Amino acid sequence: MSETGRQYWRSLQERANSPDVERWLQNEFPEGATELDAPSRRSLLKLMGASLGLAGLTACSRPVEKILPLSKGVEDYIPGNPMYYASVISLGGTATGLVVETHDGRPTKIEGNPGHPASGGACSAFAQASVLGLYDPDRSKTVLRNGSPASWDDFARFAAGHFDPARIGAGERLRFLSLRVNSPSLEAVRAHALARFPKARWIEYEPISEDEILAGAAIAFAKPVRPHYHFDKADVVFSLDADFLGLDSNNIAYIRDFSKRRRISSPKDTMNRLYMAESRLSITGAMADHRLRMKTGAIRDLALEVARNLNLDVPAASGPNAKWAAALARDLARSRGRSLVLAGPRQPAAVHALAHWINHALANEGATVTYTETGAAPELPALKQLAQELRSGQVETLVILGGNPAYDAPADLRFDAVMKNAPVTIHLGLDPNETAGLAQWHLPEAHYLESWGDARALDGTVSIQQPMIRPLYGGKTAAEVLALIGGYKDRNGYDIVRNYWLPRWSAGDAEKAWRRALYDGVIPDTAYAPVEPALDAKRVAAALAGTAPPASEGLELTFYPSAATWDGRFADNGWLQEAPDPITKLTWDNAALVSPATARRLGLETEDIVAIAAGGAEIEMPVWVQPGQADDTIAVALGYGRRRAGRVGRNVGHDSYLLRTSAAPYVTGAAINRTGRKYKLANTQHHFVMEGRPLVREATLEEYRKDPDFVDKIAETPKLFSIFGQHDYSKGYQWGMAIDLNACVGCNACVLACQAENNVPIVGKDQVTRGREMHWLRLDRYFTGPEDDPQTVTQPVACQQCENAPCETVCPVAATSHSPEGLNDMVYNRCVGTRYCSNNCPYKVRRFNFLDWHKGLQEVEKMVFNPDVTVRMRGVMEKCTYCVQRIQEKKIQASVEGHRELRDGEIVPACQQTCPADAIVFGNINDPNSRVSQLKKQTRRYEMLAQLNVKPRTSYLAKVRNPNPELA
Amino acid sequence: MNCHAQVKKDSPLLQPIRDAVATGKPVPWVHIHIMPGYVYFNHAAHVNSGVSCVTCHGRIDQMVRVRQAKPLNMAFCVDCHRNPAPNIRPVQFVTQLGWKPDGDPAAIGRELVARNHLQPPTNCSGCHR
Amino acid sequence: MADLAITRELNPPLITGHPSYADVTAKVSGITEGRMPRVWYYAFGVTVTITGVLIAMLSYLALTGIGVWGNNQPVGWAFEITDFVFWIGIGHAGTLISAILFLLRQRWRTSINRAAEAMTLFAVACAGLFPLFHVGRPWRAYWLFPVPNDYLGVWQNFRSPLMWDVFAVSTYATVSALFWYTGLIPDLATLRDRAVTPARKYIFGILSLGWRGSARHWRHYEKAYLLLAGLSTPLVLSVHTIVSFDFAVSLIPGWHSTIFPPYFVAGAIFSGFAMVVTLMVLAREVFGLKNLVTMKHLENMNKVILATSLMVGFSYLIEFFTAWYSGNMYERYAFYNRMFGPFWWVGWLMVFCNVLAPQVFWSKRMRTNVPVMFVVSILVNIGMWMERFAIVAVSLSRDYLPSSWGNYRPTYVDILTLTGSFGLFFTLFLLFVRFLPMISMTEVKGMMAADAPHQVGEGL
Repeated sequence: MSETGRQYWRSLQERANSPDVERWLQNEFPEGATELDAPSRRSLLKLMGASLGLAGLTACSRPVEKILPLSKGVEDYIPGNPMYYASVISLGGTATGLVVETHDGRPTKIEGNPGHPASGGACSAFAQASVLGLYDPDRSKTVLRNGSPASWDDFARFAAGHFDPARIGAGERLRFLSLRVNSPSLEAVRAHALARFPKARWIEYEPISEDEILAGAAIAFAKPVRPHYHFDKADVVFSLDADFLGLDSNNIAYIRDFSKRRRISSPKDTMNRLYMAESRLSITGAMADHRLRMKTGAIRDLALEVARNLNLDVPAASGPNAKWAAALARDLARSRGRSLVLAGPRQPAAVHALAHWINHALANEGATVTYTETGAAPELPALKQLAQELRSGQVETLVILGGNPAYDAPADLRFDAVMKNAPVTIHLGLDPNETAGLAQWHLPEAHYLESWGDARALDGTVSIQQPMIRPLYGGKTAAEVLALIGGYKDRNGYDIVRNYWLPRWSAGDAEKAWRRALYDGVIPDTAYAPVEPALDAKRVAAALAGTAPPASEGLELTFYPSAATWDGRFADNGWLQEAPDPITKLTWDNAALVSPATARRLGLETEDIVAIAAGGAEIEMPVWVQPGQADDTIAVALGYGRRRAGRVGRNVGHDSYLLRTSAAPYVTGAAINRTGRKYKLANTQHHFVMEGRPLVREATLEEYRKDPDFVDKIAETPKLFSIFGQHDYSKGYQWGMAIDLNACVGCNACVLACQAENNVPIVGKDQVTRGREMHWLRLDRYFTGPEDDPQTVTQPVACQQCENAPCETVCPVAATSHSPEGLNDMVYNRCVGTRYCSNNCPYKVRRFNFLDWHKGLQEVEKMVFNPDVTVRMRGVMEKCTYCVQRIQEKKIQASVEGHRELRDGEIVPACQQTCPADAIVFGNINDPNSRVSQLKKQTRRYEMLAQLNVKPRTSYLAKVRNPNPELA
Repeated sequence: MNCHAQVKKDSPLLQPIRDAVATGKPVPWVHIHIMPGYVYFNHAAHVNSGVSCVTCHGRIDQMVRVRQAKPLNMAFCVDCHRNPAPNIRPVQFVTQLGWKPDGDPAAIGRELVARNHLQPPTNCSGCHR
Repeated sequence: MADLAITRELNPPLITGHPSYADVTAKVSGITEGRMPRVWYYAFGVTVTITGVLIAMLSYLALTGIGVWGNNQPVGWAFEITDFVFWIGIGHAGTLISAILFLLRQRWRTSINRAAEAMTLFAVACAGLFPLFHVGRPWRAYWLFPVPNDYLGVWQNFRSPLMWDVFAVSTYATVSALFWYTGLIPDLATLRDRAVTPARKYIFGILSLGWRGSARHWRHYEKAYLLLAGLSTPLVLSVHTIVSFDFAVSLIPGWHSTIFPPYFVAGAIFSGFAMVVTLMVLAREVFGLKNLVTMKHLENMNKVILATSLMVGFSYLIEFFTAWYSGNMYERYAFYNRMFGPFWWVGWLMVFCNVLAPQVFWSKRMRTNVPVMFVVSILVNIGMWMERFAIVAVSLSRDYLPSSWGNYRPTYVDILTLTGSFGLFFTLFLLFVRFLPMISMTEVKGMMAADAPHQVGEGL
C-alpha cells in the first residue's frame, strides 16, 4: 500500500515538473471566458496527468517568489495564510471602503469595510468583481505612442518638453478631461497643475451623470448642495424614478438603511412603505409596496399632483393617477418628518427641486434628508464646451485622465471625431479602449488594487487606497501622471498621498494617525458637515412653470446604466458580463425592454431585432418583453457594444450611446421598427411564473398581523415520516442558514461574492444559452399578478444542505456525502460525473463542468483564484458548501486557540458577508441563541419543498408587503 | 539568518541561505511532501493537537537527504483521523522526533484526546474543499 | 389418415417443406461456410462505417467533455441514458425467448432463439457503452466497480441505483453469454466436423470444447442448458426492474413511480420482440429460411407484441391516473407537461407507436402480413425510444422550481452516437450470421422428429 502510495506521489511530482504538463496545467487551471478560444483536442492521458499535476502545483505558492521574496521575511506574514488590508474603491465619484483579502501577495477577494459609512461591511457586485479586472490579461500593458510601444521614460521626456511653461505658457490651449474626481490628494496635485497653467481648464465627465440632482438642488436652495437620504428614519418613501437600491450612487449604504425598516421579527413590528413611480422595472420598483409604471416624462405630473394634494402652490397637472397621488399625499402628510421624497437622475432638475420642496413642506429636512455643500457642478455643459473648443481647433493639448469619452460621450458631440483636432492627445486608461485608440499617447493606468490613493465617500469620509500588489503592468495613477505633467513635488503615489495627509495631523502623532488611517480604512472627521440651506419655494415654482408637460404621444426611450458593465467600463469583466441582470436575468447582452402590451401593439416578440431611431441616429438591437415596463416606453442599458475592448467585452451587446445626445442624455422620443430578423439572447431563467407553487411565500403586513402563521396556511406540509432511521444532529455544531425574503432586494452582490470566493468559472454566452451557467448561488425572480403590471419577488437559492439529501443517496461513488455538522459535502476529486445527483436535486442548485471552462488561461488570470477552494476540472459536479473553507478555517483557528468554542457570527459565508441588506444569516442551529436560530423561530420561517422531507438546512422568511390600505 | 548569524555561520551547507539573504533570491527548495491541490492540510491544527512531525515526515533528523517516509495517501490520513490516540503526544514534544515516553504512548494519547476533546474530522470536507 | 389431417389442422407444423436432418444441417451450416450473398457485404460495409462514426463520437466526447452533447442544467441525462435503457430493453426478448419459452416448452421458439440470444448479447454490449461514456471523467469510470483501492480507503455507495445497475447489467451480460454459448456447442461441433479448411477445424475445434455428441455429453448439455435457462429467467425481470429503479427511487416527478418495475419489464419485452421481428423478417428474406422461421413463429411473436403493447398502454394510463389521483401539483404538472409541454410530440409519438400501432395485430391477416409486421415492429422500436426519452429527459426539463426549468436540444454528437450504436449492433449481428449458425440445428432437428410421427407414407 505504502509502496503504491509513494510512487503515486512521486510520479505526480515528476508530472508536475515536466514542461508539457505545465502547459496542460495552464489549460487545466480555472477562470476566464472559456468559449473564446477554439477548443483544442487533448489526449485523455495528458488530461489525467494534468489533473493530478494541477494538484501538485497549487500546493506550492509561486506568487510568493514573484511578489514577497521570503528570503527577506515580511512582518506578520505566515506563508499560506491570507492577509487583510483596508482600501477603497471609487465608482461614479463616490467611494466604498473595502477590506481586501490577499494570498501570498495577490488580492483574491474583496469585502466591505465595516467601519466605512458607504459600506458597513457590505459591498456591491461591481466591487466584488473588481478583483477580476485587476488580472485582466487584456489590460494596457505598455505606454503607446501613436499605437506603437514606448516607455514611461519616453513619455517623461516628451512631457518635460511639451509641458515646459516656456513652451506651453499659461496653458490657454491645454485641457484636462477626467472622470469625476473624489480624491483629495489628486485635487491637490490638480490645484498645483492648474496653478502652473492658470489658463488651462479641467473638465470632469461621467456618462452616468448627476447633473439633474445637482441642478435641482441649486434651484431649490440657490447654492450647490447635495442631498443625503436617511431611509432608516423614513416611514414612507416616495421615489420619483430613483433607483436608490439599484444603480444610483451610494446604493449599498441606502440598501442597508432601507432594509433596516423592512426587517421584522414579530407581527408587532412596523415596516416602512415604499411608493415608486418609474418606467423601467428596477430592483427598487421590485421592492415597492406601490409601484406606478409610467413614462419617465410623466412622472413630473405625478409629482405635481402629489404636491398639490399637499397644498403646495404648484402648476396644475392632469394625471390619470389622482386617487393614487391623493392617497400617497395623505400617507406622506400623516408621517411628517418621517417621510421622504426623492427623485432619480433621469428626472429633470425641476422635479428634483419639487422633491426638495415637498420634503421641506413635510419637515423632513434634517430628519430623513440632510444636505451638505458640494463643489460638484453639472458636467455636461462643460463637456459640450470642450467638444466645441476641440471642433474649432482651440485646443492644442488634451489630457484625458481615465474614462472613455470617445465611446461614452453624447453622440451629438462626435467626441471621437473632434478629439482628433487636438494636435496632442494623451490618454491614461486601464485598458486600450476606444479613446486610447484615438490618442497619440496612451498610458497604462494602475488598477486601484495596485496603487496608492485616497477617495471620498458620498458623505465626504476619506479612505486611503492601499496597493495590494505591485502594478502588474507598470501602470500609474492619474495623480502620478498629473504630477509628472504639472511638475508636482512628489512623483509616486505613496509620497503624494502620504505627504498630502501627514501635514493635516499634528506633527507629534501624524505617523500614528497615518497608520491608524491605513488600518481603519477611514480617516476620522473627514465627513462633510451637514448644512441647513434655506429652500426658496418661488424659485422651485418658477422652474416648474418653465418645464413643459411631457409629450404624451409616441414611444419614449430611456437609458439606464447596466447592472453588469455600468457605463461600459466593466465590459471586460467576465464575472459581471455573466452575472444575470437582477430583473431580466439576461447575461452578455443588453436589449430593448418593452412592456407586453406595447410588444403586442407593435407585433414584437422577445429576440426580434428592431431598429431604434432616436437622437438622429439608428441602431439595431434585440427586443426583450419585460413585465412591469411602462407601456409605450423602451428602456435600453448603456455600456454595451464596445468596439475596442478586450476579448471578453468586445462587441458584446449593442452600443446605445449612439442614440444618446447631450440634449436628452436620459429620456428621448424614439421610433422602433421590426427588421424581421432574430437574435439569440442568453438568459439564465426562462420561466417567471411560480405555477401556483408555494416557493416564495408572501403576505401583506395586515394579513401577517391577523395571522402570524400564514406561511403554513399557504401550503400545509403533510405529516412527514421516513422509513429510515434519522441521523442524530442534536450534538456539536449544526450549520444552518436563514434568508429573509423581506430584506433581500436582489442586488446580485452575493452572487458575485460567491463567484469570487469559490472560484466559480464563467462559461460564455453560447454556453449560457445552452443552460450551463455555473453560479452556485442564483437569484430566482418570479412575477405575480397581472402580466403587464406584476409584483416581483426575488429568492436567493443555493444548496439547501438537506439533512436527507437526495443527491447523496444516488451518487455511486459517494462523492457527495453528509458531514456530522449537517453539511452536504461535495468531493470534486472523487466525483466521476454521472450527474445523477443534479438530476435528483429538487432545487437544481448543482452545477456540472460540461467542458473545461479554464482552457487557455494565462498565468495572470490564475492569480485571482482563492487557494482555499479546489479549482474544479471538467467532468465533475460542484455546488455551494456554505463556504466550508471558511468554516474549517475558523474551526482550526478555534482549536489552535486552546480548543475553544466558536462564537456566533465568527463564521460568515461570502454571500452573507457582502449582503448589504443583511438578508442572509448563517450559523449554528444547535445554539438556541445564535442569530440564525432566532430567525428560524419566527413564524414567517418556512422551508422550500418541505413536503419532500429532504429537511433543508436553509430556511426562508416569508416576504411581507406593506401596502396602503386606501389603495388596496 | 537569525540564529545562523552566530551558529555555524561559515558552514558550507548554509551557503545557499547566505546567498539568498545576500541576493534576495529565494532558495530553490525541492518540494518533497506534496499534497494534491484538492487536499487541504493545516500544520497548525495538527501540531497544536500534539501530532509530531515524525508522524508524517519520519525521522527527518536522521535523513542525509530528505525523502518522503510515509505514504501520505488518503488511507494514511484517515487511519489516524479515525484513531488519533497513537499519534498524539504532549504539544511540547511534537518537535522531539525521538520522543520516548515512560509509559504507554497510546494511553497518553488517549488521555490527551479526551482532555482536549480532539475530534479529527472523518467527513470529506475535513480535507477536501 | 383423417386424424392425422386433423392434427395438422389443429397444430400446423413449425417446420414446413419436410426438410431432412441433412437438409437442415446443410442449410444452416451452409450459410456460415459458403460465400455470403452480395447484400451481406453491402450491409456489412454500411454498418462498419456507422460503427466508425460511433468510435469517432465517443473519442470526441471523452477528449472534450459532456458539453459536446446537448445535456445541460436541469437535463443532466438525455440521449445517453435513453439509449442505454432502450438497448437494455431490446436485449430482453432474447433471454425471454430462449429461457422462459424454453422452460414453458414453447416449441415454436427453437428456430429463433439462437438469433434472439445473439441479439441480447449485442444489445447489452451497445447498452453498456452509454453508462461508461456518459460519466464526466470516463477515465475514472472504473471507480464504479468495487476494485481494491487501499490508498484511498473508500468504497462505493451501495445505496445508489447506479451501483445496482452495474451489478445487474454485468450479471445479465455474463449469464446471457454463457447461455448462448452453451446452446451453441453441439452446433459448433457440427461446423467443426463439416470444416474443410484447417483454420475452421482448429477454431471450431476449440470452441466446441471437444463435443463428441456422446449420450453423456447430451445429458450434461441438457442439464446445463436447463439450469442456465432457469438462471436467466429471473434476470429478465431483475435487470429492467433495477434499471427502472434509477428513476423510481428518485424524487423527480415523472421518475418517482412505484409501477416502474413491471412497466419497464413489459416495455422491454415489447421492444425486444419488435426488434426480433425486424431482424428475423430480414434474415429469412435474405437467407431464404422461410421453412425454418415460419409464419407461425412470426405470428406468435406478433401476438406477444400485441399483448405487451396492451400492458404498456395500461401502464401509461395508470401513470396518468396516479398523477391525477395523487392530487400532487408537481406530479400532475409533470404528466401534463409530458403530453402538452414543449415536448408534446414525443408524448404523442410514444402513444401512437406503442399503443395504437400494434392494435392492427388483432387481425390475423395483419399479423401474418410480413410488410405490415415489419413496419409495426419499426414503429414500436421508435415508440419505445420515445417513451424512454419522455421519461428521462422531458421529466427533468421541468421539475420542481419553475426558475430552473430548461429546454433541451440534442447536438449532432448525440444523434450520431445513437446512430452509431445501431451500427455496432448490426455489425455484430452480421458477423454472427456470417460465422455462427443463426438457427439452432440441434433443437430444430429435435422438433422435426416431434412434428413427423412415423406414419405410413410419412417417412423422412
